[in-house]
Amino acid sequence: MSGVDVPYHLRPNKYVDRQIFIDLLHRLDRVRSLARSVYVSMGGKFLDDHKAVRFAFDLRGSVSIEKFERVVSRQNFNKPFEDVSCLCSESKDFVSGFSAFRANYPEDTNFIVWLDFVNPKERLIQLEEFSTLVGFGKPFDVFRITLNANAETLKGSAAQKPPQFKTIMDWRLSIFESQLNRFPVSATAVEMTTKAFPNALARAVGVAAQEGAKRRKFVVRPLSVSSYADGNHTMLSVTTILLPTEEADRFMAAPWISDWRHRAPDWSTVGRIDVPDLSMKEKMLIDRHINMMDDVQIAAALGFELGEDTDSTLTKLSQYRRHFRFYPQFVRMV
Amino acid sequence: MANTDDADDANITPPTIFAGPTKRFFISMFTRDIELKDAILDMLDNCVDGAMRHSGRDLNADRPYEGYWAKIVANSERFEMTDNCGGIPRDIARGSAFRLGRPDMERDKALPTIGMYGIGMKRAIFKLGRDAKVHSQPAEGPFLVHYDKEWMDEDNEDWDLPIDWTPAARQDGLGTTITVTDLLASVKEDFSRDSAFLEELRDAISTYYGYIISKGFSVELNGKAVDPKILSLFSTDDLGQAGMAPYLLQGELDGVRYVVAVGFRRPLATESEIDDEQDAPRTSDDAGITIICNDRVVTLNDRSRLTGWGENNVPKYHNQFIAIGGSMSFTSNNASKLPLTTTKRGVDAATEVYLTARTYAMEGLKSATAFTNKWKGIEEETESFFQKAKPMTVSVFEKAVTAELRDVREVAAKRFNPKLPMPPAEKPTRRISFTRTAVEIDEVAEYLFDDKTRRPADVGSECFNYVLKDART
Repeated sequence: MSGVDVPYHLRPNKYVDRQIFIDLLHRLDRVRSLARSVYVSMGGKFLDDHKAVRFAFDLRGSVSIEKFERVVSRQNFNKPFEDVSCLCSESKDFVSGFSAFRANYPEDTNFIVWLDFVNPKERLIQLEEFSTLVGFGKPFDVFRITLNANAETLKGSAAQKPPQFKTIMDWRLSIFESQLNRFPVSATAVEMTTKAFPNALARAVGVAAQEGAKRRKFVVRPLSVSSYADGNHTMLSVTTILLPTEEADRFMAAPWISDWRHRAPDWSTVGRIDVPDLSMKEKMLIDRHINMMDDVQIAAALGFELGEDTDSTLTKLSQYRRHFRFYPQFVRMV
Repeated sequence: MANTDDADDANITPPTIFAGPTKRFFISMFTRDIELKDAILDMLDNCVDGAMRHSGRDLNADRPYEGYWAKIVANSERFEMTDNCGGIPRDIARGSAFRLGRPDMERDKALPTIGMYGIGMKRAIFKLGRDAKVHSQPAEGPFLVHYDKEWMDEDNEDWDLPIDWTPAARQDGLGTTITVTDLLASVKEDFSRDSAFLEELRDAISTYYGYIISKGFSVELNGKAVDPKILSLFSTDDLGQAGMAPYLLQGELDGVRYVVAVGFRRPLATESEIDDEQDAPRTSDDAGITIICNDRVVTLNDRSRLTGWGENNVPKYHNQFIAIGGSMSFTSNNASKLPLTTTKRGVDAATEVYLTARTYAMEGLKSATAFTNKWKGIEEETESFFQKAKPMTVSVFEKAVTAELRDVREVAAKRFNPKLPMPPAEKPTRRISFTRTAVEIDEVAEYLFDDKTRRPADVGSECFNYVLKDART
């Protein structure tokens, strides 16, 4: 499992990924109000995302789906608003019953659904669920999926590479292909590395989404595609929107969307989130100069390496520059 | 010595060569692609199409085929099919009816017909015998076409067919009679009293034309009416309460009305029945989803991904799901909009209307398979639910459920989601299964019940209860 039990404030990359999602929702809200939307996610015991989303937007409601009854009880204690509905349901049952679920809401309701998965062994099922969800979608629904994108999870039970595969990457490719045979993406062995694997998986998400939208009166477009390290695992998040076929291009060309720096140009260009760990003092120094200095100048101003060498320091600074507006600032309260 | 004469040269290297078909191809080769039974069903399709063309009725009416019939006589001497479906219009007879293949695909495009290529009747005739008469009486007056032995000769390349425009008129209204004699040896054998073929044909007609027959069309085979065989699913009368009832969805998309129904055609199978089924499948043949286009069954009892089994959280078909049945029915007064392949004998699974209906068939399958799984091992406890329900055809159930239908949000459709009873959740159950020799089981049966004939399942269960009592004391 990824850091499923680790609180958000110890997972800065995940936090940044979620803040980018909220930033995206702000932009979508400008183009088409989210006031008639209902937010659905697997909120975990603290419902952190529900807090963030419900405080930021005036929504029609929010629903958390949770497999374990005991966690649902805890969610009911922790929920920020009384109208957060905490359902005890597995994602597969929720998704296959999504059409009946949405029929309980007024006709003009849209849904923002985030399926947040961690188990790499169930990738095919997870993609199928996403595909089914899209199939039950309506124009202007926003569907998001998070998957384990750790290339190392592509190995058999014994870690010994069978002799018919030339390299470990060839072996992983064969496992990847058999895992996701329903959503073929013509991946290559070169992509079966920690760094490149999210690209191949993102394409599979694209195929699954488009499979769900096949022969429907709407299209599905990627809004953001990002990967990040969460503990020892690499995760991939893809956020999509369903749009009426004839309006899709116009919607995507709206400046709030097209000018957004984190917008995914296609299904397979993955934005990397890998923010550095910084002390408050380091962060304040970088923030102070960030609009006036380039990364080399900031590195000099710091006077020490943030990474192992100059290159690595510059990479970390560039990551920070790209994401600093979303960087968490946690301080001890009591 | 080489011949340099010009005329001879042209004979050796002519500017064009004949590339048309041979009669042998149509008469002997073309008929190999189709089974005799299907060839006869093709002819029945023509009758039904004729009825729709003649009546101009709306297929969504209650009994659109009322008053139309087809009578088949099949014996070792002759095959005859007579209908009262309006006859072949004279201009069509002059134009395309007797051509091999239809030159004008636009004809009937906007009618709820199921035939298409204009080969069905001819191919069936060639499949049956070597002498055939087609007597047809449309409103403009009768005509008779005779395929005689000479015309049917594979080596005879004369394609012209004599037509008699003044034959005797028939007495029983407008219609067509096709009489085939000089039957092929294999056909004679199939039509003989000893063969099971005619029963199979009757079964195929009752299955594939069941919905058409139940909506008023009558088919007779050798003087006996063919009864319709159509799907019935268990439903209670009180649909507001938890109980057995089918999932139902009615939708409309681009001029096609579709109805999806999934439910239980019989009570759940017990463990021993599932085991028997493994050895000798019987009732499993009737499980699955049937696809119907304009009342004609196109795919019977499908248990594959075509209808959503084994995909997106719906389990693959397995004998434990033997009780599940359903249908996806598509109706359009414009047949070209139906999700059919160009041969009209298969489903075009890539069409929007089919994919939409399939999505909801999967929703229905999900609930029916979940019900089956939840009661696994304690199937007997569901018997009372089935006793409170009765089998209903989908069209009867559609009427019964009208008040309970609710709008679907993402497509133009209405749906009924049954509240199937579930076992109490507070005590989750687990299944125990093990195998012992028959002798040992008998021994324990005698020890526990003083009765060697008790079922192995009872013996196993009593063993557990016996130990459980000990464990609790």
